[in-house]
Amino acid sequence: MYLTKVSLWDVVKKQFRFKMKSYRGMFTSLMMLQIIGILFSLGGEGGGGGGSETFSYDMNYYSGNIILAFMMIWAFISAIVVTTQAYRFDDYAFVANRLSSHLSNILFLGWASVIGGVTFVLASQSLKLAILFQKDREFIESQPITMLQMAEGLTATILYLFLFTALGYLVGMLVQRNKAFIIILPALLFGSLFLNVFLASESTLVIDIGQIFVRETSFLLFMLKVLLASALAYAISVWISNSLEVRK
Amino acid sequence: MSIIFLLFFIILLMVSFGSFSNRFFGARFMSGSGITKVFAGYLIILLVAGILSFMVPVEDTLEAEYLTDKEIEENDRLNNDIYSVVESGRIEEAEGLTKKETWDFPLKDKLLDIKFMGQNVMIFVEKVESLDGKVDVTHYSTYSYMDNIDITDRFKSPEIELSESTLKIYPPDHVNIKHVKYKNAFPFTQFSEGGEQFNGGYGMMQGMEFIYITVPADTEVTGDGYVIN
Repeated sequence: MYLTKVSLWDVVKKQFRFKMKSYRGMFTSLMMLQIIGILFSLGGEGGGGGGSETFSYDMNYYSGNIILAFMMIWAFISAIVVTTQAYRFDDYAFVANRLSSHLSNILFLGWASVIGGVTFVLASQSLKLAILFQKDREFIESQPITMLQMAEGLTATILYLFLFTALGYLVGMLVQRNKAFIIILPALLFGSLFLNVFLASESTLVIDIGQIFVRETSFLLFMLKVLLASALAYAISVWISNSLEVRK
Repeated sequence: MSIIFLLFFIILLMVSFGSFSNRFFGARFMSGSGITKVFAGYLIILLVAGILSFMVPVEDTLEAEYLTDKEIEENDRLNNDIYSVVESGRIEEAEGLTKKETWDFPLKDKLLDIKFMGQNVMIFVEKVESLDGKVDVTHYSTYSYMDNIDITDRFKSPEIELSESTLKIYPPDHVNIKHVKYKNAFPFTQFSEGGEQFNGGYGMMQGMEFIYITVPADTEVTGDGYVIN
């Protein structure tokens, strides 16, 4: 018999609010990585030139893809950091169980993905602004973007980041379960690359997995795929953590 | 040099994640209310830059139409066929030719000497019965494009003048196109139809330039120029 009855959702909300405040450092790294990404992007993504006797041309390409790559690394590593002991122990300040701790982590990582997605769009616009100031060059925007495309693109960016947080969370939990995974996981990744090269003379496994998402042209299917994959990764993480000892 | 760059990059990465996980540094670096302010400042800068990027008037924008892959293939086919069509004197039937400029000069003698001061332009001469006492000169060109953008209009016509019985053709000024292209990041193009069509890019294709000269049937033509009949 308790005086107050606390529902799971209440605890999750409390923990989520706490995490929004205490994990602010995650946004420092977001900011720094975005600045690094913009600096890298300023060098251009590619280009070319050529000409004949009467004509010469020179072109440079720019895009926000490099910034996005940095953001994906950020999402992945941030999720790993959330699973480390110091961060998990923060949750013992609450009357809570493991499930609420995981749920609030997932909520927080989702929230971080949203912030990441929105700041990514703004950062790539800043990059565009920097390019606009390049003198004596004609500027081409590859395609005028419609509102629908903008909304789809933003959602897709957020979903990509969320997928990477899910992967990072899974990797982090595996490492918490057994430190041997620190060696096993990179070994598996690079081993699969090398094995592929030896067996099929090109490395395709990691690329093939990526293609499931990148090649999807239907937005709804893409959303479904990402959400399913993320849910699977989070579910496995929760399952793994159940076999962890308390305060381990 | 690249190793120094890599090291710099690794240090930056360590700092950015070190500030998040306090394992690298003893105390939490830039945490607390300080970081909230810094991040809010960063957000404001990003917002202002984002809004500005929509408002800054884009001068010198390459105003051109994008061609689809199909149109490019069609143009390639036309460009390939065109030489034989023009050579056989059926220039009126040729598809895909852009008429750039026409000139006509009075011709007193029964002699025309053509002098071309450059290269890269093909000169054809047709003798026409119906023409009397004048020379018609027309400049045609086929499609040029770079990166799926039609740049046919960028190529100016040569300067042409007739002194005595010598037709002098001066090549046009050198055309120099410098451009930067901003591509949207891939999640923004992933779901649009044919979204990747501009990413492939067809490089550059410079069209052929033709000078087509019609002279009266009894004129004797010398110099640069291929008489088709």
